[in-house]
Amino acid sequence: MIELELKLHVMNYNGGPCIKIHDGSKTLFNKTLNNAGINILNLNSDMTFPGKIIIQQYGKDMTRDTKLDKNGKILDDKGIVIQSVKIHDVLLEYELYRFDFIKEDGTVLNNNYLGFNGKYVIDIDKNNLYEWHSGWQKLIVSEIEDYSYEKFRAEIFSEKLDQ
Amino acid sequence: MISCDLLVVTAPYTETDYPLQAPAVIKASVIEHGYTANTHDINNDFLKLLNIDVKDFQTLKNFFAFGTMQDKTNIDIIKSYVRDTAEKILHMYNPKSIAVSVFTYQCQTFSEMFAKAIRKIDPNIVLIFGGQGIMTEGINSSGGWVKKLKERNIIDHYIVSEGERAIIDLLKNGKGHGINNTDWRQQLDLERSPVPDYGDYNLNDYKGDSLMITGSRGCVRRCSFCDIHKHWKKFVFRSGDSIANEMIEQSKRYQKYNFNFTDSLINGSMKAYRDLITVMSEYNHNASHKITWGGQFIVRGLKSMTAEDWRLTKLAGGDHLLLGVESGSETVRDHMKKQFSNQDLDEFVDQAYKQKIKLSFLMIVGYPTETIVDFEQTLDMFKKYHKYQDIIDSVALGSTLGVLPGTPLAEEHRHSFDLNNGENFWTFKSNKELTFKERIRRRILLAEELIELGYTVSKNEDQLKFLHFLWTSYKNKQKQGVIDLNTNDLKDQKYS
Repeated sequence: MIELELKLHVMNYNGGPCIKIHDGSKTLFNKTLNNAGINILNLNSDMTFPGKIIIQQYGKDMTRDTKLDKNGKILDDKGIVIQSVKIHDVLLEYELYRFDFIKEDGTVLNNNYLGFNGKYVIDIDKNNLYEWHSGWQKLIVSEIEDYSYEKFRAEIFSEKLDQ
Repeated sequence: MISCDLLVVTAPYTETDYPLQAPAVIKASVIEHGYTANTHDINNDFLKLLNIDVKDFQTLKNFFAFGTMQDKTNIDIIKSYVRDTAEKILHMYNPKSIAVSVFTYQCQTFSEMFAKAIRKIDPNIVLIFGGQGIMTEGINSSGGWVKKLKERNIIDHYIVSEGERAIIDLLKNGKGHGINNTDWRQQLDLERSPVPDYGDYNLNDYKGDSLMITGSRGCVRRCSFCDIHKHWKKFVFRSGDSIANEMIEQSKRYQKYNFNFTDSLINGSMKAYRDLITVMSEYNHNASHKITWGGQFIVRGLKSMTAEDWRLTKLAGGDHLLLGVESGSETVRDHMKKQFSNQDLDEFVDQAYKQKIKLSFLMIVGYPTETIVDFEQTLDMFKKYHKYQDIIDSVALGSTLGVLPGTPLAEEHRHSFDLNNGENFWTFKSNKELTFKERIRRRILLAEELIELGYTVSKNEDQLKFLHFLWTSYKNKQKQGVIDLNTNDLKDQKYS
């Protein structure tokens, strides 16, 4: 049994987004999230690896479910931001910006904001979850762009207690 | 087209400027036993792609090294590259068997794809995997990658550890120690190994104008942070004459005059070392092309490595020694079981300075017993050695101490550690002030001080980025993956 924990930030305009979560073979969750803000979903799956976790938003009407001002700026929306996904003891955060969000028209975006109908796919394409995660960790380290020595140094030398 | 019994190939991705030695060793061994053999450095072909197509190189490198990719549509580029490589190799060599040298974990993805591609083109070719990379999978791995490949008939055989003897057993008998099992036997007589055969390499293709040489395996020390004794149970070494003869012979054959030792330490046996420098100093005295060499070295005081030894070291061509100094504190080094005093180190550095032999210091910041006083002694040591800066070529500070599986720290002191989900995240019960944050703080301070003093801190930026990443994982209570245990850089291998 694989334990999943999803931390989602919900924008609940017009009743909130309809979210379905499945593990490739079974639907684990299918509800409208109508509470704005952070929602934590704890789910169990019988999935094996390789496997996929799919987070789907459906039923959003782009003409009604996004509130815009006269300049086209989004004032409120129906959607979710996936803040973290924990699969067993593997926590995904930075990786979430890298996975595919496939819109209904087939367009692929790489971000963790589900503002359209479509499927966000966490494709665990190895039979060992840790190896798969390690691959992402290494890739991210090799591509770190937002590193700042000054910020890092300031944090390390701050008086804030160690974890 | 060549037709050979065995083709030995390397597998991307290994970051190196040098020709990898394993295929040349295997080739020489196989030929000595009457078979025909060739080598092909696929890794070097791959490295050259960087000069042709940076984008494809990065895509392929990330996939081969890390096994994952952001844009899955790129899989076609990767499949094509592997298929084309397999076709080219078969067309060039027409081998009966192919042995793939899987140097590190980061060579696994290519190796597996390559084997599948070969199988598809010609299922009759016998496929053999060997090299440290077939077993090095890190603490979180289920292990058995290579066993699964054999079970699934993607490969026919795998060889664990020293391949030069096992490959002969395999070709002759189809079985033996270390063949499709982990029951390998350490070769105790290195003299019997033939001289590596680089005949198929275009040695001018490599930026590092050097050849590798192996004078010993294993280590005479049993340092608390190192796992090498787990793999090589005994320290075995060749005679100085034998090593010298190989350097001389290889330099004449390939017109390469610089050698890098793969040994954990060149001067493990002082008897063999003295023989080596005696022969080489005599050779260099008359040679039109003088031979030079370098590699990892153990710190010895003047009692065990005399001024005369130093003089001969210089004449013999010793020009760059890497030292596991680790700390400026004797107390810390004693706990590590490094077995040299501050006086030994002072004498060593002074002699190297007198002989103008370059040194690289390899340091460990934040050893479990390191107090702030110990750390200050490390700072003081570099201030003291400021006068020797001309020969202290670089200082490697690493990414703070990781408690690696198989080391005495991880085994004998395991009850004293809280590992906190990662090799780098530990705390030590009798030195609780030394948190991961404090270790990073000391690492930063030491680098700043060294740079201020004018030393070169090697790969400082990369390692700080890496520490930043680890720190972020630690803060978020994430598990540290195998990331720190494996590297694609030939010179930075942490795992034995």
